[in-house]
Amino acid sequence: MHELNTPWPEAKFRIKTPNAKPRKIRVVCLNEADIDVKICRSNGDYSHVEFCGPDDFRTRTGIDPAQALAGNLDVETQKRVDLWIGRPDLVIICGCEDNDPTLGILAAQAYRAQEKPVNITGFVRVSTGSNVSDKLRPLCSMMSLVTSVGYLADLLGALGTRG
Amino acid sequence: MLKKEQNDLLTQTGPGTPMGELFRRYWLPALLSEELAEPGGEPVRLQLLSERMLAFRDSEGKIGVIDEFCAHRGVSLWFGRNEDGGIRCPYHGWKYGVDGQCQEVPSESKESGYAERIKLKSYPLVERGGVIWIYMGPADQQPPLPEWEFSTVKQSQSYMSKRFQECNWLQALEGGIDSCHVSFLHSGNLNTDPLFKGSEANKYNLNDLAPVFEVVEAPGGLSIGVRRNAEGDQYYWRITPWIMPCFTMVPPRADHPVHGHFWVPSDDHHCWAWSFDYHPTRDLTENELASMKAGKGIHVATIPGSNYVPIQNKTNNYLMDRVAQKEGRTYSGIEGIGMQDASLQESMGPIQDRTKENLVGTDNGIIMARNRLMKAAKALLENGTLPPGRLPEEQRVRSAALRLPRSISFKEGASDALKAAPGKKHTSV
Repeated sequence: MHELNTPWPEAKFRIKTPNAKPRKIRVVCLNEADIDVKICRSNGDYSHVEFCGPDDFRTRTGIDPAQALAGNLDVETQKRVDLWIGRPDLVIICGCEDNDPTLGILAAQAYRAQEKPVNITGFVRVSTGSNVSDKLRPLCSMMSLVTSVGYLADLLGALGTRG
Repeated sequence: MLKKEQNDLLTQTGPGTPMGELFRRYWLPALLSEELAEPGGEPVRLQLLSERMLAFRDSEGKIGVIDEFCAHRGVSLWFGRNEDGGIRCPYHGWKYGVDGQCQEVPSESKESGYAERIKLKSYPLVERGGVIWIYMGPADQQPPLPEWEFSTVKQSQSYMSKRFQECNWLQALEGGIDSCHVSFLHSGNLNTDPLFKGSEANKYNLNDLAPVFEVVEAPGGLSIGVRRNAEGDQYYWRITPWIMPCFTMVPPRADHPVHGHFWVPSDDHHCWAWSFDYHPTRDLTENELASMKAGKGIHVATIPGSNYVPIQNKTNNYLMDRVAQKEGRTYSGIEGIGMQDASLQESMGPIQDRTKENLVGTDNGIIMARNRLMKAAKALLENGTLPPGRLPEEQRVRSAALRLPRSISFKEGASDALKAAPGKKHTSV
């Protein structure tokens, strides 16, 4: 141990070595144009974070989220879906109450079913109704219902993704 | 995790700092009424938001809080004589009223008018619910008087205590928001503490160590719901309101009184942990009051004659009992719910280094609270926007504990339970 060169008295004598490895975080957005996701993307300096939405899903799997959720996929398509799902350490499903929740449901079910279950945060901007939050609630290990914009960027920052 | 500049923003509350300015837009609990019980009685040193003040009740019964130091040569007026409608500096006899106005400078002739030109800074106070509240902000932005339910019920229904805590206010507040720790840190007390035991819901806390959090943005702050599995197709919900900047309420258990806290900065390295208990529909019983005064529940026994310094403190390792820890009588080895919290929060250091923390899903309430605080401080600084949590309707909140069908969100199922109203029973299991 050594004294750090810092004006913070509470940081005196604390070991400087990093105390955690970075987590791979995946943000599944229900709408590619989500305002919180846009803010995060414009910040542009997150590490270990991947943003993906319905368009990305279609491009990489060749099918719609609803088709994937219905199941009975052929082997090749299922492989592509599995590849898209991947193995993140933490997942944030982000959207508004008036979005189509299908991609979020698909992702949450898949991550919960993995051998090593993933912590899933549902992050829903409240508007009229509660369609998305009601559908995601049973599948998420954490829910945030917000009315204002900007939480997602702070959430990602708080999870240690900013340099 | 926060960047250093974000941590500084949130933790520094002295004059001129963004968070200090934010705190200066609220009525804050300053003193217990009992501290200024007697007209002409002992004055009290008071430090809030890194400002040193002197509070006193003058011989006519009026209360005031003024700059602690005499305008003449900087002597602490705590040594002063509380006499004839003012406090008199014992050094050269300068005398001040509760509004800080100098009334006499004995060495100068009265005709000179010199005393009228001397005025110490003073702040408005209001006394309600056994608490003396202070407003330290601009006069034209003073909010309506505080309307927290505990301060509006009959005195016989409410009890308030305070303790000095040796750490920054934010890490203390964050302990109040993070109810996940209850199943660990306080597990030894749920079935033994007289103000907690007997609730049939304690089993849910003790059996389900991986609760699911749901945080909902509310007008004055946040509603933080925690659900655990209950019988059949039900969840057991415990819902904690946080109202900006520093008010939290603990969800109730059985018919015990409801309790909660204010976390008020003294300076950047110390805070005042205020703890209240009240019952919305009945007087507190003798046993309940005796337990609270003995430091049970969320209250703490303090050293008599000290400025509310806990008997268990860092100089005596909080009376750590390793045998009790090993036997599970207390989870951490520290006795008492209040000091279990305080001991760990103080162990983080005077200001927690949040650049090194690793937050997880159950910390979302903390993350969202920080977000709201930072946004509100910046909005006040940049646009003069007054922060949330100042209005009576935002303060009339309650915590709640209830079972709900799994298909119903707490926002829907507990909306009425989370609103305070006179004579309405609190919702508890």
